[in-house]
Amino acid sequence: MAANANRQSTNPEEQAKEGEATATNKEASAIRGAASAFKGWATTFDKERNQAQAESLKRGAQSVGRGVKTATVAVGGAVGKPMLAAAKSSSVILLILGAAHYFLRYFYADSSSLFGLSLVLFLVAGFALAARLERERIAILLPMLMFVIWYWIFNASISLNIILSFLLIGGSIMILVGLLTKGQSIGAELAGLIPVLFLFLDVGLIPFLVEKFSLTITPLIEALVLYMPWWAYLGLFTLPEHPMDNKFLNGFLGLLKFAGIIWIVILILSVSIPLASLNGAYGDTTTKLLPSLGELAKSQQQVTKKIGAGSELLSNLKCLFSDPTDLANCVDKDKTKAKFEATCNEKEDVKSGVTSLDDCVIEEQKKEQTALIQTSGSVDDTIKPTTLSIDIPPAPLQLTTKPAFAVTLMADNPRQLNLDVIVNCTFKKDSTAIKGELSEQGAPAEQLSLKITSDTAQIPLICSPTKDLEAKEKTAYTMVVEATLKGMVTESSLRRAFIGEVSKDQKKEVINKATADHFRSSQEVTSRAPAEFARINFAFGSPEKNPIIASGDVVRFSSSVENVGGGRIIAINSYSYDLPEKGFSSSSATCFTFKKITIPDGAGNKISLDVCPVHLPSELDHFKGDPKVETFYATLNYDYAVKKEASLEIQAVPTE
Amino acid sequence: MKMKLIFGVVLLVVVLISGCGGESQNTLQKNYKIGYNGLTLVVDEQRSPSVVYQDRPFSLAMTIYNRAGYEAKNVRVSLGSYDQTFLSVPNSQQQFPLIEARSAFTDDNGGRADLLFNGKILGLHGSEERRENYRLYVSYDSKIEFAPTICVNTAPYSVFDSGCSMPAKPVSFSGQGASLAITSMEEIVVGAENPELELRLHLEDRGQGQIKSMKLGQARLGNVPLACQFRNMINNADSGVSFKKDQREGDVICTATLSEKYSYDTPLFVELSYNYEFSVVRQVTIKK
Repeated sequence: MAANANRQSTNPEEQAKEGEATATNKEASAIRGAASAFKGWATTFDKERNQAQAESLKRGAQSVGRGVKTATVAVGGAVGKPMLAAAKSSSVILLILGAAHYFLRYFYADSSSLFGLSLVLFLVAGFALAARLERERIAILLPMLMFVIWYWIFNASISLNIILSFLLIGGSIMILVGLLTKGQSIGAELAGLIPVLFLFLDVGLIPFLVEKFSLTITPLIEALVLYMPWWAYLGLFTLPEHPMDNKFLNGFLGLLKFAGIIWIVILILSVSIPLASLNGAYGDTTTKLLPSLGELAKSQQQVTKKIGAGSELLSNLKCLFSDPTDLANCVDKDKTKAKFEATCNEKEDVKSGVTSLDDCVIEEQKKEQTALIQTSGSVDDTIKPTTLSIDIPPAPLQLTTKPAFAVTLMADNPRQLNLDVIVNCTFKKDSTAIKGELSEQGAPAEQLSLKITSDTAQIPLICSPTKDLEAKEKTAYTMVVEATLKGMVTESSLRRAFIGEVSKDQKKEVINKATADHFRSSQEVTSRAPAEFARINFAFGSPEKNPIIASGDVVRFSSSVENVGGGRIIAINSYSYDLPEKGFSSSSATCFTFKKITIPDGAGNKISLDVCPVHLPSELDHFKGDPKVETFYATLNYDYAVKKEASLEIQAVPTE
Repeated sequence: MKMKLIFGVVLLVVVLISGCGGESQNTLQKNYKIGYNGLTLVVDEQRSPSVVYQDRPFSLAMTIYNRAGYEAKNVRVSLGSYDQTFLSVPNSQQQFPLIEARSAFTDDNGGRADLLFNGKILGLHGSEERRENYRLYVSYDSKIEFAPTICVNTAPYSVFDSGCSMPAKPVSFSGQGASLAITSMEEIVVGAENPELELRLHLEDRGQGQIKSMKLGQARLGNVPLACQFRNMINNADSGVSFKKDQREGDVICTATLSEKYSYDTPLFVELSYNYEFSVVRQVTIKK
């Protein structure tokens, strides 16, 4: 190339080519200079050299081409002179992107979609920190890279073998780098841990700990930690001393830094995380110590939802002015209201304006209060359940306006009860409903009454409309078949152990033995009923969920009716308990007696019945000796409807 | 040479086999007051089916063996903690005033008492099958005797006087043939003018139940009565003591002032009476 440059040429084409080659040579030389300057930046920090490197970079940039220069000027013009100066620092990028990331997460709450940005911020943070270091900046990548390898390639395993091999290899590399740089890379290697920490803080390490390890964190702190713009703060703190030319902007940034420090100090002073509980909590996580990003995001979303989408801070601020004397209560009320408002805002009738938000909130509050006193129950697998279902086989297009469709009523009756079933059918199209009639073998009727006493039954039925359906063209109708089980009886059982008069010393041992013998699972503590239609849940004890009752315990009774099938409870005809027969009594006269219940439209799955104090018979209360165990029964008599819908097509026979 | 080797091996085997000649036939010499055995319940599985049917009789036959080296008195066996809704046992408690100790006059299981609980399996209320747990509770009164020969040396300095030497460390014992056992003893001599011997006895419950109460009976060192006190125990209402909550061990400290200034071997006798309780959980499957 040098020989070519020295050679004189007379041909204009050749001269042009030579000129081009010279220019290319100059550009290549400038790029080499820029690369050398970057290399210098990555390894040392020296003001004078930095100046020279900046010059070199500038020369390189000028030589790369006009287009780039134009673009740089355009960007510079848009950002303005002070910002252009600040933009030299990656901290500003981190600050801006971090703030954007925070706002995106705050308003859209979907952390999973922001993972990519989190990872970008992770790299930018590494770069920003490296820029603050004086020596061997490139070493900052070592811990970051090692973490990434361990986390993603080794799946954050804490298996002893993996950890040891990883530490051995990683440690050797870091020591080797440290030795080669005469210990100057140690600062950079340690600084590399900061982006790792911030990555976790950002994606929700603390909510994960709260959820998975049940750490005690006050609600206020929970909100403060969750809604901290971590990346932006890192960008803020890695900014140079006077990043802007403008004094006002520099002062503002200084204030922001101060506020950030105050915020973090508040966090450190206020957080009361019992770290000791971590020891036990990690006990069973033998293969993976750290959560995956997916787990973190899920935790973050759940905790965010739980605390009411950041309403904690707002509630605190609001209550600070409105009710400073009873701050805790005010915040609690405000939070509860915010939770109900969030639920109501999702409801269709509120969205459409049919129900006002306030009415909905009041309704939700009532529901929660009712749910609090509702008794729960479980399935008794030892009793085969009664089932009732309707099968409508797919039917081909019927070319008639008075079609007939096959329906099969199926029942399992393992307890051989006398089941009374009333079946009816309806044809629906838009808002029009045409009654149907059903026939088994005899004449059709609008309501077909059937009796089932056998173990199993499959009753074929024919459903047809009582009048002609409108179907000039091919029309789809919905056939609704409903079977109502009248006077269905479901019995629930509840076991309790009575330990009588035992000494304090013996009590623990007696309770432990009774629990081991009779109440090993949570299902054995609650009342149990076969997995059919509806059941009565009942419990008594001190409190109700405690299955072991000692002499002198204040015993409370509660009950509810629960719909556990896929249908509707039409009516509760009666319910009763065998407690009065076994000598139990209550100061509430109506405690064990049946009270007529009207089932409201849109009632939930549970309807509360009774909550009252009960007195034990003396033989179960005042006795000495071995514990007594007894099972109690409650019987529910009810009407229950199951429904099946099918879309069917009909068409009138075309007349010539 | 080869034959000599084979002969030698055969001879060695014969000597070894004859050397393992089983237990001594002189049973009258056997010490039954060793180990940690107590009362044991053995259910006659054939006469006590584990699968029963509703509305059918229920029976539970068993034998209680006294494998301890001491008589068991006021033995009470009760069937409890069963669900009265599914099982009815009219007489759920049986008592035996005395079950004799394991001795040369009993077999290795010791004295025995047979018992039978009868009842009825009730209706299942629609269940196909239920597995019901119940417990057999056993309580009895018994005692232990601790009677080793010990060396006592009240001399102010450890001088060899052709007698015996007192152990410098606590001595371990492998039980006295009952669930309650003195498992170690330490001898301490306090003072020089009127030296006092302090015997620190460590008590342990090595059975599967619980000591409800224990009391000290006789305590002598040769002919000298010992003054004994329980330590690390809870005083019961019946003037007895029991181990602290969740503990199965405690101490007894016995003291005596001795006049002799030389070492000598002498028999120690400490008797402790106790009330013991244990329970066994069993399961019955009730079918429709």
